Amino acid sequence: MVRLIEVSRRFGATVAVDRISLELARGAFLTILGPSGCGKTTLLRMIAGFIAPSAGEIVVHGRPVADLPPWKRSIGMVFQRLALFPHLTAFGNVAYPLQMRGFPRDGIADRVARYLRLVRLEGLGGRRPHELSGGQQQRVAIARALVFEPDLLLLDEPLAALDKKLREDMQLEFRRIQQELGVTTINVTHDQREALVMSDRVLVMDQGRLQQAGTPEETYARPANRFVAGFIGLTNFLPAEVVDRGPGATRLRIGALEITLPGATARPAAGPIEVALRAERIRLLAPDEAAEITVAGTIAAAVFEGDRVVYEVGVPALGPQTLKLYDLDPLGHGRRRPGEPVRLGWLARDLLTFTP
Amino acid sequence: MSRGWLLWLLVGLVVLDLAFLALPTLVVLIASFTPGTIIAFPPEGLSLRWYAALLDRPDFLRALWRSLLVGLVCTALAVPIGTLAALALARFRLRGGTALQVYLLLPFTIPLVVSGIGLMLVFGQLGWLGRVWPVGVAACVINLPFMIWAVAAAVNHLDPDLENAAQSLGAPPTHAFVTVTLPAVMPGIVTGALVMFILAVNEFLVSLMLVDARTVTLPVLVYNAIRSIITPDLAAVSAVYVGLALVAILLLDRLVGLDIFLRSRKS
Repeated sequence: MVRLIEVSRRFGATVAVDRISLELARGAFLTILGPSGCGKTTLLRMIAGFIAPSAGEIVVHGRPVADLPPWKRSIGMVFQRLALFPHLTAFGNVAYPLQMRGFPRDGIADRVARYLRLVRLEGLGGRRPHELSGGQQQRVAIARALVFEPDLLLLDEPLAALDKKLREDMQLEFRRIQQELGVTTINVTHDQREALVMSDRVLVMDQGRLQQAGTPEETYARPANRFVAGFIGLTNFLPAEVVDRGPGATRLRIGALEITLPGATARPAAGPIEVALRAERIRLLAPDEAAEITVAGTIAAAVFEGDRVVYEVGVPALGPQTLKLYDLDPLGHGRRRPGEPVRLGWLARDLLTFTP
Repeated sequence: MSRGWLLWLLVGLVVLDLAFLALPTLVVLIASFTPGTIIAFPPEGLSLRWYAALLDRPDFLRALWRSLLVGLVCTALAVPIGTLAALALARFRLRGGTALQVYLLLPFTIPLVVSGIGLMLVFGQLGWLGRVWPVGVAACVINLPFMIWAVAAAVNHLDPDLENAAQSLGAPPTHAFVTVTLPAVMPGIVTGALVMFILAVNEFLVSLMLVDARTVTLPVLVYNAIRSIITPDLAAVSAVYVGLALVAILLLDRLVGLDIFLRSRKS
């Protein structure tokens, strides 16, 4: 189990990491998600031991690691630019931690071979890093970080530099290896999709602070605040006002539109609030189709992305702002042109409310 | 101007350039095989007479040995100093790092005559004038930027997390430096060392000021010789130099690969 207790790090006057606490069960896969500069890499480097925390405690498998330098911690790390040793072969790279950590010499070759097989690099052990493709280099880096069976595996955005296709393949590959070995893993990324695809738990950070911790589903379905709602997924934000708060429902005014939210929705405080609506929750309605909430608008822009069209629709009733939404079956019906009138519909429970 | 015209102009310039690069060396090489007693191009025949004559000139051989010694002293000093300086400058944000960089490049921007006079004064005070090894020290001081550039190019090419990676894999800092950083910048070190060696063996102007009649290095000896009569043995000596340079380039190719000079590096 990995535990962080109120871990902070200051650089001069700036607080890079501000009292982050977390608990991670053995064998779980956690992703720390946040924009660049949010402090996630600093947090990871504190766990690895390259940076000392200004305050707080880090405990790995019951053992506080504050006094342990990186080479005495049992933590494997895959670096952003991989940091493979250019003068060693793939085999040499993977054997390195075993040699440094004093594993018995006669067992090293077998073990390296076993891990090269695990990452599907059998037969390529003799190649130098520059003779390997990007994906193969990733595999060497992960084998090297795992071969000494560390208590904890850290991933510092190693997939960020790959092209989309390879990145998505490697996400699944990392997950497969992680589950096969059952190694506790902390991954850092700014890619929301990667966080949702790979992890058991997601921790969202912004400006050094914890914004939300939970499963990928929770984080997506019930964002804790406006930042999380905006960072994960494509989300429309609309200014609104609470008109009336009854015992079972809340009446909101969004522009000229009045909407009653069912009681199950989180209660906004009285006064000005903000309403969030995910792009995929909005439907383009057929002429005779009905929905719980319907508005009329005009297409302002249409972007074809292959599997979907992203529309921006101006809705006079909601104010000057346009709504973004997807058509996930663009080949099934014709593409709408800018200027074309449309009707949009969604469910009241899809509206998320935040006090600004 | 038509494109064809431009192309021919470019081809012409390249041919001219290549010719002027190689021509002086070729002329001297060919002239060194003359059987006659005066240096002439083209030679009147072919003979190794003057190479044989070199072996009978102990002053030439001793000067050659001194020049090699200068090269060794210079390289032995430049490798540790230049490597550590380049690592420090490239790796750490040193206070006054830019100033230090300028300071290290200073000898390079100053005319050699001025450096020579300065070194002559200092070495004179220290009682080092007229000895061979201080010439190596001088060559190291003057040419150190080449060593630093060679290593810095290799360091800049490295992943800044290389030592962190070694540490997280179980290597204490000194171990990480010896097993990872040093081998990873070795191509730069080898390149720098060979360049420094060749430059020191060829070093003329400053040597001229630091040596006396008993300790002349080979370039100074050649210079002294051409001031009297230009005999074909000088062409033979030049051929020895060409040979040395060739050996250095071959070594470089075997150890590092010449393509690092030709290929633009990926960031």
